[in-house]
Amino acid sequence: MPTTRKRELKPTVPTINPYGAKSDVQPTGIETFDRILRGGIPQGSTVLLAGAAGTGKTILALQWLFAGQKQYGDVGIYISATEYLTGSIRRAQKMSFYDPDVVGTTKLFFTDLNELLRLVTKGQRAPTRQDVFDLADQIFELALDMGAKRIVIDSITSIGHRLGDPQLVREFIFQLIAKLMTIGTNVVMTSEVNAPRFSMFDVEEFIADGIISVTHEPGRLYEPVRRLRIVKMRGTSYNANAVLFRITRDGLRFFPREKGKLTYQVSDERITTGIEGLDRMTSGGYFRGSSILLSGASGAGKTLFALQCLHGALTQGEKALFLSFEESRAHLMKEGAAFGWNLEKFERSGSFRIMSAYPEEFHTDEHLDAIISHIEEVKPSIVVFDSATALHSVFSEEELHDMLSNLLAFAKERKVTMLITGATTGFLAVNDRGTDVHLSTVADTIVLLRQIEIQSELKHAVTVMKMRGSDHERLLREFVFTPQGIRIITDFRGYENVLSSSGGARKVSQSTEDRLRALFVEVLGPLGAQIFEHEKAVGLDLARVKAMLTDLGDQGVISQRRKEEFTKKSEIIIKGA
Amino acid sequence: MPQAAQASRPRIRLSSKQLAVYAAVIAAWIGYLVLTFLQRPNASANPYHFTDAQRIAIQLTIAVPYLFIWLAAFHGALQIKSYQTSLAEGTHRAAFRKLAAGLAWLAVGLLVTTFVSSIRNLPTAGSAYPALTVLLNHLYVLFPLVGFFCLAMGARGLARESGLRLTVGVFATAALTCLIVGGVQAYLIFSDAGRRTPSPLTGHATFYVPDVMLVTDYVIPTAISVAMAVFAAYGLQGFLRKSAAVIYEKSLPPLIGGLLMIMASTVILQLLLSLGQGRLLGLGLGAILAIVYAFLLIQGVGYVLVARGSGRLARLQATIAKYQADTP
Repeated sequence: MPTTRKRELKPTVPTINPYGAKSDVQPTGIETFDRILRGGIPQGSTVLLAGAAGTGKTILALQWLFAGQKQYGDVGIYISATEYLTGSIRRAQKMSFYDPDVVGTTKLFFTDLNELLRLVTKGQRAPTRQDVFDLADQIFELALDMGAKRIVIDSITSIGHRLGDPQLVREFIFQLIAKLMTIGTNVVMTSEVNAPRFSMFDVEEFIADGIISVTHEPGRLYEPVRRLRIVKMRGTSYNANAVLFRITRDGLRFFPREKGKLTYQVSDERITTGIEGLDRMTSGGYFRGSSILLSGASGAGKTLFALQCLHGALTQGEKALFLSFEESRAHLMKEGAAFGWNLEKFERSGSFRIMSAYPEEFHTDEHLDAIISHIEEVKPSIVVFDSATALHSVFSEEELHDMLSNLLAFAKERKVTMLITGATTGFLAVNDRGTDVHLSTVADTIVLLRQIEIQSELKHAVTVMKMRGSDHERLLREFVFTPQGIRIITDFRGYENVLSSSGGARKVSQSTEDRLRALFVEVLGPLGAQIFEHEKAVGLDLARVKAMLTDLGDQGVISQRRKEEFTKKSEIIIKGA
Repeated sequence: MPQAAQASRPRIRLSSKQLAVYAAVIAAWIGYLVLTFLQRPNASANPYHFTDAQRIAIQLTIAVPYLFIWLAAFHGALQIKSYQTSLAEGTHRAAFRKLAAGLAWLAVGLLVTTFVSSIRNLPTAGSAYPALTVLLNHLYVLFPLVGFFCLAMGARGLARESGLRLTVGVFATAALTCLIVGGVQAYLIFSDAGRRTPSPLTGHATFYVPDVMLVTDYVIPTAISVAMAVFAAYGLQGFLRKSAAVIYEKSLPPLIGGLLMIMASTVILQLLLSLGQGRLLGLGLGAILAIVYAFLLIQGVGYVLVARGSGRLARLQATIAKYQADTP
């Protein structure tokens, strides 16, 4: 047990250069927290951990103490000022990181302010300036005797209330920092204030080397959203974003986001879309590492397009990950099996994984964290995100956009091809004129799927609306669902209004020229179009064309009957005009 | 009278490359004749005791049709190739390019196998006879396999363009044909005592390879070739029926018929090879000649039909080119 003997203050300035001690950072021992801090807290720093009640300040402070002891053998002191010591220990015992073997020993010492203050004031009068010096000295002596590297004062607000005068608070903090700095001890002081304030007495935040703010706000469909933000941290760089965290039995779990840099390499390599017709439409498939938005209404076939692409990649020996926010694993397996795709086989071999979760189960940052973990474990070359619409029903556009752009940046750096499915309205919308809105701006390729009605029959249409860095077909093609999956067949030439929101396509009213061209093609095949264009350029002379057909008839290339049919039809068309 | 109608009938102009191909075919045929005359079969290989004059006369009755078959085969491939070059780039052209490639493989196969066969039968072949036999038998399988595969791919491209899909019936037909051809060929091969060891009658074995290779290298590839030919014919027929332009009405039917006859001749050839020389000779001279001439007839008609169909396509192209050139 450490001694609590009072020592006299030395009226000299510290002989150790306080700033020299800050050259090294002290890792907190909490991996994600260290990432946010870019390594840790500079040695000899005093950090104000500010936040309202229930934001997890005490838990983080305790976690910091225990992690330091466990991982680096750092001796720690916890000074409770808000409640009696037993209450603090009882709270700590509920956490998984609590280690009874170190608590109350020379490794991790718990004490409360009442004990210290009683020693200073003898329990008989209000604290004076000298008492403040003595209190700081007590703590310093304690730290010195124990060789403490970490001290938590929980909370400085309570101490301030006990001291009563802001000037005394300032003196206390200043004295404590000045002393502890000399031995390189880091101090975390919790501050019980509501945002946007960081300190109750408006002095703590200016004296502290670092300010960490923790906040919480009610969630919509999920539990409260807690965020941590480093407001300042002298002597080091840090992630200044507000980082989402969740309070768990293991302590605070952070979900930091690091925006990727625009330094990723682009690949010319193509991967199959899994659909032969779509491979042709995209001039050979999607680019590896690109992002593809499959946009279409419910039932348009988005998931199946994605699943077929994924299956095509799997059969070529690639690895794949399916992120499902709408369907369960069993449902997807069944859907694949219906088309003869044995996805379970790939799952067993470790080349395929399905991650299924309801959007509201977690916040976007937690989803992102889980997705990144899965990507790092499976190392897929293709990831299907099905669907962004499901997440959009729970999260705001900003949150979802932020999540997806972070995910896409991460995927691009690792050359992971991302297929994102989305609905045709709202945030993911790609309007009829092809103008990109919201997410579609970050997608490299947009494949548009539509259900259209033609003469009371519902047909499915697909078109490649955009493909960065590649030529692609601009036709709108029909696709059908076969027992082997999606097959793209003919195009919708001759129809217009196919992409309209009303979904009703109508036949194009043909001009005389169109009808004549169609007749030429009907008779002469692909060469017919070329002949027609030639004739049009030199002045259409049906007599010349008829003579040519007569010649072909003479050579046995075309029958007499067909030649007469052509003559009759062409005359009707011209007379009609 | 329109100016165009007064023009002379357009002729298919042969390019220098095409002329070179025809010249090469004729030169090859002359080379083949020379090799044929150089052959001096011994008594065991000449069981009917032909004089040289009789042998040469019989061989000429085979060699002369060969020239026309070869020319027809190369003509068909060149005409289709010529037609596809006039089309705009796209799936249609790609399909015809594959059809031309398939026909080219079949045509080259005719020439190469005949040459290797003639070299093998030279008196100087000697100890190389078994190796040349193995090579020849593989070539007999390889060229049709690649050729029909290309044709099937080309036909598939055309069929898909018109939304046609392979039905269970087509698969069943192809599978059944495969099974029948494979079964008969396997039976003939494995019932031949001289398949691996030289027969006393001819002094040669039929295949010289282990039994497992007979299945993997001959029976299975032949069956696949047949299936490919069925798919090719079905694809072209479907294209013709569903969406082909009028212009294909007279060119595709002979092409399809020709392909089926070439497939039949390929099967016949494989079955004759599988029969083995010993059993073939046992059939008697008359039967052998009848079979050989029937084979030549089927093969010849097949290639002539293909040449006829593709020639019509080439004439279309030539006619259009001429009218465009004549346009004032």
